[in-house]
Amino acid sequence: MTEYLTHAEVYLHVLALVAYAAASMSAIAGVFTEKSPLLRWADRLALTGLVFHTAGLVARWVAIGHGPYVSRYEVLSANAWVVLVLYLWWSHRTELMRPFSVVVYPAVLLLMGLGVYMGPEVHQLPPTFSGIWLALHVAFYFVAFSVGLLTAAISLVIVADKRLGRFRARFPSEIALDRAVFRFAGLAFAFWGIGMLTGSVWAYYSWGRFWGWDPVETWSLVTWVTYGVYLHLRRMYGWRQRRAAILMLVCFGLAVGTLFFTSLINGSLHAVYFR
Amino acid sequence: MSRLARMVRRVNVGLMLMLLASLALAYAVPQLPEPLDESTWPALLQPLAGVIRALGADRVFGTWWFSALLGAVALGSLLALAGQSALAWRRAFGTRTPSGKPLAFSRTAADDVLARARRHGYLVVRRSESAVKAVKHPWGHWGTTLLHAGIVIATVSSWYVLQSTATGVIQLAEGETFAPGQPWGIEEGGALAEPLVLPTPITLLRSEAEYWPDGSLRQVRSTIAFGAEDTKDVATVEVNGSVARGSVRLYQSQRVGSTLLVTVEGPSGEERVRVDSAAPAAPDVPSYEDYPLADGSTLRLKYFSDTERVSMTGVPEVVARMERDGNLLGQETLVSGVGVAVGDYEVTLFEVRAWTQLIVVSTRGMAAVFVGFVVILLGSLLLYVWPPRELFIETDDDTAHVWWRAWRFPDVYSDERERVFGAAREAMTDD
Repeated sequence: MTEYLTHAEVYLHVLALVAYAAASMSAIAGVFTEKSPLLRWADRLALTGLVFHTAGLVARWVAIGHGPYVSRYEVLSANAWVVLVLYLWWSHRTELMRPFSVVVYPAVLLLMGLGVYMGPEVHQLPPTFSGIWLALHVAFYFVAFSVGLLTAAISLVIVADKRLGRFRARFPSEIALDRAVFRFAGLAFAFWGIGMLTGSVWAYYSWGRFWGWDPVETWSLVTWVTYGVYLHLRRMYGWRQRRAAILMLVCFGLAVGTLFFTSLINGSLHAVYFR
Repeated sequence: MSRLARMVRRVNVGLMLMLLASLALAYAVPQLPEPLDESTWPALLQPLAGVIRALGADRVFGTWWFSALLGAVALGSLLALAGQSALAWRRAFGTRTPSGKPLAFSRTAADDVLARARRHGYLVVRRSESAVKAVKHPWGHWGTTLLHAGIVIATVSSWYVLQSTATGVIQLAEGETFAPGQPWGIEEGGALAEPLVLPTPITLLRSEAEYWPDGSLRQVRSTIAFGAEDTKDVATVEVNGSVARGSVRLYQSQRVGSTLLVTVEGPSGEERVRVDSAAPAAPDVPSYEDYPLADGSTLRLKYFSDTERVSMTGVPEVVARMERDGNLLGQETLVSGVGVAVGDYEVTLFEVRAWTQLIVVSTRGMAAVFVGFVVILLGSLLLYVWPPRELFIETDDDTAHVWWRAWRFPDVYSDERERVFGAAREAMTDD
C-alpha cells in the first residue's frame, strides 16, 4: 500500500503540474487576447490541478507518515498548494483579485516544477520534527509566504503599470491595488511574526533554547522588520503605489531568500532538513 | 510626555532601520562564541578587526547598544500603543457625527436600511431619539492596539527570557550520577540569570537511540533517576519531550555515543582509560577518539556501530591503534574482556556503555511569550480580517441622513455597502 501510494503521489503531482501549465497558458492567453472565456477556463483548469495536487499531498502524507515540510519537494509543493487555495478563495470573494491569475498560476507552476525538479525522495524525520508547535510554525510560514506572493503579484502590476500597455486595463485602478497590497502586507507581517514566535517556542521545546541567531532566524527577523518598515512608511509617511510596491517586492525577495536560501547555509540548524 | 511620544513615534522607522542594520552586521561579522582567531574571518573584515572589536560587532547581541536599541524600539512601540488606544477609544465610543456628505432617505427607507444592516451582522451600539449607530465587528477598532501590544509583550518577554535563561550541558554514561554543585560541561547564562543548580542528583539509568533504516537518527531517549540512590523518582526524557524538576527543565540532546572503558598495560604500567566515542554518522562509517596516555603515546579508538556495517544498533566493533610521535606502533581489533596485544601494549576492552548529553535549563517569562503570541494573533485577525464597518443614521422630522464607512479597505466592502442600502436607494430624497 505504501509503495503504491508513493508511486501514485508522483503521478498525481505530474497531473497537477500539467493542469497548472494549461491554466497558466489559458490565463496568459485570456489577458492578452482579452477573452474572458479563456480566463474562466484557466480557473477551471487550476481547480482541476488543485484536486490532483491535494490528492497527491494526501497520498504522500499517508505513505511516508509525515506532513509536507521536510524536503524541498514537499515544502515547495505545499507552498504552491497554499498559494493556490488562498488565491482561489480571495478571487471568489473579491473581483479585484481575479485578473491576477495571470501571475499566480505561473507562480504556482514554477513552485511545483522546481519541487519536482528537486526530486521526490523521502527524507526521514529528524527527532526534533514533532509536536503541535512545529505544525503551527510551518503552517503560519506557508500562509505568510503565500500571502506575500499574492502581494508581490499585485505589486508587480503596480510597478509595471504603463509598460503593460493596453493590458493594464484588465487590472483594477492603481489606488485599489495599492490598498490591497497594504492589506495583504499586513496579513503577511502578522502571519510571519506568528510563524517566528511558534518557531521559537518549538525550538525551546526541542533544544531548550528560545532563539539562537541561526542564519534562518536572523533573516526571518530581518524580513519581518522590513515588512514592518513597509507598513509604517505606507501608513505614516505617505509612501504609496510605485515606491511602496517596489519596497514590497524587496520584502518578498527577502522572504524567498530567508525560506529557500539561508536554510542552505551550513551553520544553520535548518540545513539538516532542507539541503 | 506627549512631545516625547511624538518625537519617538517620528523616529520609529529610523529605529527599525537601525535594527535591520544591526542584524545585517551580526550576519556579516562572525559572532562569538565562534573562533576568536581573526584569520578565520572573511578577508574583507580582517583589516577592520580593531574597529569591529571596539564596536562590539563580533558580539552584537550581547552589547549594551543592542539592548538599548531594543529598549528604544519597545519604548517607541509603547508610546505608539498609547496613541492607538486613544484613537481606538474615540472610534469605538465617540459620539461625533461622521464627516463627509451623507445620503438622505425618508425615515421609512432609513429604517429599512438599518434592518438590512442588522441582517448583515451590524450591531446597534448606540441609539438615541435622533441617531443610531450600528457597527459590524465593533471590536475591530482594537486590532491595531492589540497587534502592537502583542508585539511589545512578545519582544520584551523574549528579551527577558533570553536574559534570565541559564543553560548547562552534562554528559553522562549509563549508571553515572551528576550531583548538584558539580561543574557543568558547558554553561551559559543571560545577564539576569541566577546560578544554575540541580535540585537533586540525577543518575542516567538508560540511554537509547533509535535510527531510521537509512541510519539517520530517529529519536533519543534517556531514563533518569532523580534523588539519592534508593529513589523511586524515575522519568524519561526524549527529544521534544522534556521533564521539569524544581526550577529546572531537562532536555534530551541529540548527541549520543558509546563510552569505552579500557585498560592499557604498557612498559610503564597499567592505565585505566575512559573514551566517550560519538555515535558514527552511518553503519559503514567509523568514529574516532584519541586518548593521550601518561607515557606520551596516543591511544586511538576506531568505533563501528556494527561489525556487519548494516545497522546502527548492531554488535559494535572497536579497533585500538597506538601511536607515538606520529609513528604507528600497532593496531588490533578489540574483543570484550580479552587482552589484545597492540605494539608493546596490552589493551583490554572491559565495558561498553551508552552515553548521552542532557541539557538543563532554568528560565522565566515563557508564559508572557505565549500571551504575546495570542494577542498578536487576535490583533491581526481584528485588523485585517474583521475591520469595522459603521452605519450612522441621524433623523430629523421626515428625513434621515445616513453615513456608511469602513475604517479600513473600503473598496473591498463596497459590495456590502450596496447590499445594505439595497432597494432603499430608490427612496432617496433630493436633500
